[in-house]
Amino acid sequence: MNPYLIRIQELLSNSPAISEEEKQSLQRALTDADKQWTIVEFKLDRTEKVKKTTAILLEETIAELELKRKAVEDQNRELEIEGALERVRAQSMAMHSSNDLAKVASMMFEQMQLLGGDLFAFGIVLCDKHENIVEQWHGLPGAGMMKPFMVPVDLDHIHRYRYDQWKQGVELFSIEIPEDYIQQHFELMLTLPSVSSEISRMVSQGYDFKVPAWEIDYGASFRYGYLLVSSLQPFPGNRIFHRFAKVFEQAYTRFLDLQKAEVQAREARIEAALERVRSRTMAMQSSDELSDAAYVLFEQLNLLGVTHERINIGIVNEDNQTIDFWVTEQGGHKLSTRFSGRISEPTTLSKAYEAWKKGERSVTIDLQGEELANWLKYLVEDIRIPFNNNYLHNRRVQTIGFFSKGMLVVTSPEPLQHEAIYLLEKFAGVFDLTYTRFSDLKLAEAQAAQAEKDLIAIKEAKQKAEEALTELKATQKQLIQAEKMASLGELTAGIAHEIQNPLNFVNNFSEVNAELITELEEAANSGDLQEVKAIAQDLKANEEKIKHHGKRADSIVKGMLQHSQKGSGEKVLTNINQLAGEHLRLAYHGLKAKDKSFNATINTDFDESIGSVNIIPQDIGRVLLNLVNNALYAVNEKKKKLGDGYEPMVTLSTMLLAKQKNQPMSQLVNELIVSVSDNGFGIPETHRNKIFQPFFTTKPTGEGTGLGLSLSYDIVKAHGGELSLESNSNKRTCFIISLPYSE
Amino acid sequence: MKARSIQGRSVDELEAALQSCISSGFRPTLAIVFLSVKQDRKTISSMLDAAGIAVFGCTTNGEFIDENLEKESYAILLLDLDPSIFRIYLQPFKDANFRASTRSIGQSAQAEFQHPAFLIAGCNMMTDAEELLKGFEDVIGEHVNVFGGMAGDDMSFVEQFVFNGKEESNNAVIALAMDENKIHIRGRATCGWKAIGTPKTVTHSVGNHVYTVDDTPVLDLTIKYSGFDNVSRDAAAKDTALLIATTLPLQLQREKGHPIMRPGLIVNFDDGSFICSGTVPQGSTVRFSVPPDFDVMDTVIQQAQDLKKTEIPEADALVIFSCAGRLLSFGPMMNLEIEGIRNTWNAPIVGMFSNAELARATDGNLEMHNLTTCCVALKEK
Repeated sequence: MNPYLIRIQELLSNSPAISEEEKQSLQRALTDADKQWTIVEFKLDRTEKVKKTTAILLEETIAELELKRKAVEDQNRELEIEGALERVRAQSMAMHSSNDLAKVASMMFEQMQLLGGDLFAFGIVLCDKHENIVEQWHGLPGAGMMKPFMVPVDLDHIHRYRYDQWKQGVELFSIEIPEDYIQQHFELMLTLPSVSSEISRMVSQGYDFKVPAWEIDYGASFRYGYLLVSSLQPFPGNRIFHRFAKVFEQAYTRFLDLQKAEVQAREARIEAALERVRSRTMAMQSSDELSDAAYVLFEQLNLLGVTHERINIGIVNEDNQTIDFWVTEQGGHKLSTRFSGRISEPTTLSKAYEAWKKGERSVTIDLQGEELANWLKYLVEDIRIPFNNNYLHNRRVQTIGFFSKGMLVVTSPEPLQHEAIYLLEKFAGVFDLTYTRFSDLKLAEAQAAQAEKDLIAIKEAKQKAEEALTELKATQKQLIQAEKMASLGELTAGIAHEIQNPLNFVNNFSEVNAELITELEEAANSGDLQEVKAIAQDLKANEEKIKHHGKRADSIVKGMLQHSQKGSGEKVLTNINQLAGEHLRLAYHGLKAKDKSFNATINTDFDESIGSVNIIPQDIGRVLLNLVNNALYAVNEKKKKLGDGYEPMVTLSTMLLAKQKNQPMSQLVNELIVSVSDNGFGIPETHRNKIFQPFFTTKPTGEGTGLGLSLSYDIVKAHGGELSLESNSNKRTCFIISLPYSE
Repeated sequence: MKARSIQGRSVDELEAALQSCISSGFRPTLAIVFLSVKQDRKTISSMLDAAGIAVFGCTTNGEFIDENLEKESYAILLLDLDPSIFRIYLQPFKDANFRASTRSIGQSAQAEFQHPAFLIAGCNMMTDAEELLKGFEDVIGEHVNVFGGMAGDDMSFVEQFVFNGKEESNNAVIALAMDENKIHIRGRATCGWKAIGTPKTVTHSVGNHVYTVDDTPVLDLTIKYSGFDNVSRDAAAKDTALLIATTLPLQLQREKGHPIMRPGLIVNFDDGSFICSGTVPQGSTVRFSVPPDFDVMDTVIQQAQDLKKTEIPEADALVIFSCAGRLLSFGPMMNLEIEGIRNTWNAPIVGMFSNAELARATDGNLEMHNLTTCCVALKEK
């Protein structure tokens, strides 16, 4: 309990004037008061502590806020710097040509000043362009950018130090130029003509140039050099120079790209100009159009920035010892006249001719004084090229570019720049190609006219040939039909003979049978049964023979029909020996029917081991018939010429040949050989390679179509075989059909 | 349900009180026992057990049955609840797997009751109380009603106990599971500490052991702000240091949700570090906080009145878990808060000062809190 309350309690308890009841009531009140007292004390104590805590924490919070404020300030500064860099960046992005580089440099200078630099000068120092010489782009406050100037790195130790720092790749460096040296430093700079002339120019425009008492140079390296900031007092936030350098590096890289692009664009413009000249000269139809070409040349050179008065195109004519000119007027208008000057003219033309003759690319003839007067006189009086006296100067420069047939001459009052000469040479190069082409073209045109005439003649000839071919084809069709009919005709006689034989048998046996039937009746009447049986037996045998020969006639007729029909065109298994025999007989009897006197020995040598062969029988039959007919015809002709002493002989043979085709050894391919040989006159050497050609025949006109062997050849080929010929003149001819054979 | 709260300092007093109950015809079946580690908890719990009363008990940093706060005593709430509608589980922690222990309790209770709710008390300073809550959520779901606190030991932060009628443990959780179909149980935790000062970074910590904040030993930093004059780490008495640590708790800032209170509960004077009630990850941001104004007590009472009005208009009994830090901060004024709560329902009350409180705060998350008062009202349906 609170000591004061304890004191009160003691006073109360010791007071006799207060009743016990009152004392108890007062005691309760004291206890309540003590409770409240304790709470109040506690509250005060805690409030005090919390207050202290809060105060400390608030202080800390304030400190924290201060830090934040500082951070915000730093951030603002950063934003300012970023803004400045952004403006530099934007300026560099806006560069369209290398001229804009100065604008970027000025913008950087301006921004650095805005960021609080007390700057004397600002520069961009390019170190990588030349050996030991740097190119400086400088700006001075209030004077803008100076023209760039070249400074040797050894001009003094300041320049050397800055260069070395860049070379070593130091990002940010600085060097003081002390009071006792700065004057000398600037004097050395002013010994450089480009610096002194530029300072003089600026001073003449009212710029107050003073050498500062002291400065500190900051350098911030980038890939191609360094930014040079000359400050009149130390610059606290010099790290920003490095950031400017980084931005500038981007700008400068872009600038280099632009430069490259500018060169490319210039090249493209030159190419376009050349192309115009090229296309104009390519379109030339006659020499007179050279005046147009001259006009185009004048215009294009002007567009490329070459300032000149007029242009000539000169063509050297060595036969006439002249140079012929197509020329524009002074000022470039077209002049459609050809002018001619003597090669011997001393002031200009002889010099130009000599240079052309030596094969030089270009020459410059600078006419002044008397020479000029002489030339102008010659120009007006001899060549008679119109001359406008407004263009009369005391100097006249002829710049000449050569090509193989002549020259391009540009006239100007002053010598042309190096690039203009380069351009002229390029134009001359184009001219060389196009004018040569023009000359060639004229020649070619003459040839073309002749060629056109020839072409018409060829077309007519072709037309005739085509007509003849159409006719020929029609004839050929007819001939093929005729050949078929002819072979049928040849067959007819043979067939007639073939059928006659069985018919004779049929007739004879019929007659015999008629007689036998009479005898049979007699024997029957006499009742001689024995005799009747014997006669009946004979009748039966005779009937068999009649039937046999009837069938044979039937098969001959069918075969003939097959021959004349086209046939199915399908391969069927056929007995080749039988087919060969039948056609041999048909041919032989056919010829025999036509010529009764004809006789010949017919030999056959059939290989009986050959079974059936898969062929188109009508087609192969036609081949056999043709070959046998030819053989019979040949021996018959020889017989007619040689008479008795000569024994005509035709041999038809078949055989199987085991032919080894490719490896392996076991794989043997059989071949069926059918040969038709005769001992006629043979086929002369000269005819052998024509024998299978269509329409080739040695038979008298009307006797052969010349298609027989040709058709035979085609048929054998269609069977996958070969038809070949072996012949000895006067002795023998043998046609060999070889067909693939498989069992 | 009838309830009666008793408080005393000796076994004899308890025996007399029990006798008095029985003679008045009151037959308690359940005792919620909050007592000082200095009390003879074995005798007390055996006595209750022998009387057929189930025991849910834990040690405290102070206990009360009315606005008269006591130390080194026992406070008991006796209830005549039907034994079929409650169960008591004492589950020791195995391998520091706290979540598994409450998951196991949850499963057992779910087998007994359709809708179980829990009063729990955990012990041991190394226990991660958040994990205890998650164990219940795993089984019952996020809506589960769990209220409770972490046992104390008269603010020595050395060894705490939980116990039932037959056994005790210094490394376990005790849970009173109740059938919510039969008992209406609602509660709310209120805090009020205010963050102050600039956010600071925990520069060295391991689990709940915080060494330095902004590279300064956390005790030194806290003393600086304490308001105590002339107190240095060497000179600080244990009580003063603890007072400083608990009245200027760290508020762990979280990416989502309210900051969470992390007062230092054990102070290491050698290196100036704190062991906090929960983890404080290294690199996390903390702020210091000052105790709320004295009107926060009115706020707590208002919250109780609001709970009564909106969720549980009548209560048979009240259980309060209040942070020991509040006792240190509010000192003699703590009585006013307790009195206010008691008057709200006018029901028998038992309360303890705990090392941490487990409940839903007003923003609804079931979390481990510090420096809160968690008030739980019970009403048999």
